[in-house]
Amino acid sequence: MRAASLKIQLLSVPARAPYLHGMAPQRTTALDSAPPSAERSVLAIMAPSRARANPLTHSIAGVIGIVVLALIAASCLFSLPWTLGTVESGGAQIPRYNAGEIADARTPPMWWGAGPRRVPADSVASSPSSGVSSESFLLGSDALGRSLLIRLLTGGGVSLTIGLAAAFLSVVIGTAYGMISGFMGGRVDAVMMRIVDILYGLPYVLLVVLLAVAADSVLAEYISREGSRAAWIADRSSGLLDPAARAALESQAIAAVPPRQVSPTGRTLLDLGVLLIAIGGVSWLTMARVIRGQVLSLKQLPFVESARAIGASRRRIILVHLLPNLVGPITVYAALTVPQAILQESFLSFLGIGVKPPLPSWGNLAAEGLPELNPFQSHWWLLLFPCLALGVTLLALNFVGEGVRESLDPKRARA
Amino acid sequence: MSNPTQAGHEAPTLKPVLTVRDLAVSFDNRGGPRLRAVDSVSVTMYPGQTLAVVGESGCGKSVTALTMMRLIPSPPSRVDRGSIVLAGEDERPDRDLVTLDERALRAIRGREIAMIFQEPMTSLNPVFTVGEQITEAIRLHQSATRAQAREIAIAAMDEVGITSPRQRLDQYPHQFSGGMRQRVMIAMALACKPRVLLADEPTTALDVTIQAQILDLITSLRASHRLSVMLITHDMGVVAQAADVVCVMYAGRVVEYARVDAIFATPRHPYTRALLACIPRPGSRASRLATIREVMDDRGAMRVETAGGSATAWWPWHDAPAGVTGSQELGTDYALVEANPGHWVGVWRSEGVTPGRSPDLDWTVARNATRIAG
Repeated sequence: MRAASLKIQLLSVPARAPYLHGMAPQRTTALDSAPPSAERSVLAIMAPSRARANPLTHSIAGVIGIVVLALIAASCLFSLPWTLGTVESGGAQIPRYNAGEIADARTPPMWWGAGPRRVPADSVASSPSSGVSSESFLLGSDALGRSLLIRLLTGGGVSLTIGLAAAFLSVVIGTAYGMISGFMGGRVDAVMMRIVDILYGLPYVLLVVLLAVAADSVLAEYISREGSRAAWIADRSSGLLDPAARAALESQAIAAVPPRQVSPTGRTLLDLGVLLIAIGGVSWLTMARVIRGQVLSLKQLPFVESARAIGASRRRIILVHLLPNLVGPITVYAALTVPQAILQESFLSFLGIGVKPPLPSWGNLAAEGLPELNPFQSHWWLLLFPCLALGVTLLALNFVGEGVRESLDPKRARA
Repeated sequence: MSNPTQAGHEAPTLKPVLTVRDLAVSFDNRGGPRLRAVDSVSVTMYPGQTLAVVGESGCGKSVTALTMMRLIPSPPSRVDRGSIVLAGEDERPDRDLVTLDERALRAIRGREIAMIFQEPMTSLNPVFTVGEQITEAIRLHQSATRAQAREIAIAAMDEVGITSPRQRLDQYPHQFSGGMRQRVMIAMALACKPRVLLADEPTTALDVTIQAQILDLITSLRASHRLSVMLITHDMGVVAQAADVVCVMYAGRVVEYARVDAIFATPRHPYTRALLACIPRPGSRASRLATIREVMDDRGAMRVETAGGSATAWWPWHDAPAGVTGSQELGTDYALVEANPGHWVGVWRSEGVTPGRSPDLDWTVARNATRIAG
């Protein structure tokens, strides 16, 4: 009783606390007479500020997600220098993920004893030059004898990188678009949001494919420069030319406007860039809507007006006053956009318009694995492991996203 | 105190800081005529003086203040007529805020004219410490380093009575109480040493004891900074406590403009009388208070004697008396006339009733005289 009243006295008006407990009013404070209490308390105004809940460790699911995700990401990304490194094969330098002997084709995982080996053991021994020994087929090998584990690691690195980059792109576009739309309001807002509505209305896959194809053709022109060559010729010719003159002009054109030299690595990177733009370019719509809604309500708050009253410019209000207030929703939606972007990438690769073989991604690994599953002989590992890797990663990412949302978005906190 | 009429006659000893003349502001009204929120408003603000703008909700008090900083987006708002002249300082010329561009206005906002708002709970950005917000105001207008701005901010917080400003500077708005937040707002407003402070109902959201503290703070800062304060309120108690000059508004127009003692002692416009009649008085046995409507319905009470003859008090709900030819649209049916020196009343404009000089009351000298005498 005393201990309880002591605490109440410290936190409220001292003279009234005893009455609340039905005690006689007394002049001496409870502090003087109270025995040392087991329950410690401190004056409210002197209390140290409480640490804020860490959004990442807020929920159990989030912690599990973080741990799983960290393992997958670390193994995929840190092994990239090794998996992308070259090995000697048949006199040529080829990337490790692409190295394999046809003799090792469709080797089951080494721990899977039951599977019949199509290739006799002596032929394996006779071709040890691949740099990838059959003993290391921890997850088996594919139709070209390449280690599935190495391809999964590479594919994971590619998928995660593209997913993260595309999510980042979509967050940047979505945030900028939504903020401008919401802040400008009126007609600008109406037009910008109708554009979003139209894009929403289009089938998503169609949009991605269109964007990918459009970006691809831009890229093709950038490399071959056929268009500029045609323009070059058109500049120097008038009317019809006889075939000989035309051929001469064309050879001149090739000398004047040569196709760009792009290394295979450069070409791969450009392709990945196209994919990135295609995915990032269509997944910002939700983000833009969410941010616009937030800005619409935020800009009504008096602190925006008071910022204007101290002479802040519009740009400053958007960037300095509104953006920090949007960190919560941006983080939440970014966390939920990453798995979506990874899924998109895998989906496109599965359809054959994403990452182009031989560069692996979880999507095209699954696509390669699908025909291997047949009633006659199923090479199940070629489909199972890519799908498993993708599924576990997406689940972990969604757990993390939900964890972040729970801690940053109080309205959707768990009941 | 003995002769309130004297003040108006005194030759102005001070130059007004801000002169609003014949201001009219209207708003877009989808599918209807434009809504005139403020019409024919003239006020004159002097350094070291508090001008209280009183009136019920929607009478145009806040629109007047926000227009003085050009803070209302246009469209939907538009300044139809009038000027808002900010007196030049040192070598700089007078500037009309109505015609300035956004860039020039930004340089004036916060630097020359500062504003504090009604809602101290939401007027501060929740994601920044109060120190960051005060220093932002400083750094927007002065070339101060981070450290210098911080020192200025600490000094400003100290000046508005925030204890241990060094610690409080790094706290967030939610760690402050309502009154303390309003002090922060005032510190932010005063950090750049503006000449004009527009206080839009600064005490409405606060409880009465804190309200008194904030008013005292504004009054003392007004004296120490030679600030010209516009205090917007609908609380006659606040007016009596803090104002020097009172401007009573109704329906976007000024109905009475006079020294605070004259407003309370000899209100000339029936609306002002009605406002005063609405204040409950301790010790009064009356079971109910008069309503504005009851007072205003008494047409006999609308007569206002002026120096130039008698006129009829302007009231938008009454029909214009015979002889009024001006249009309500153009604001020519109304005139703010000096009923007796230094005391303006809004009346119907008719023959013989023409607007004289605009309300221009420099009461500083007289006030100081009374203060010393009292």
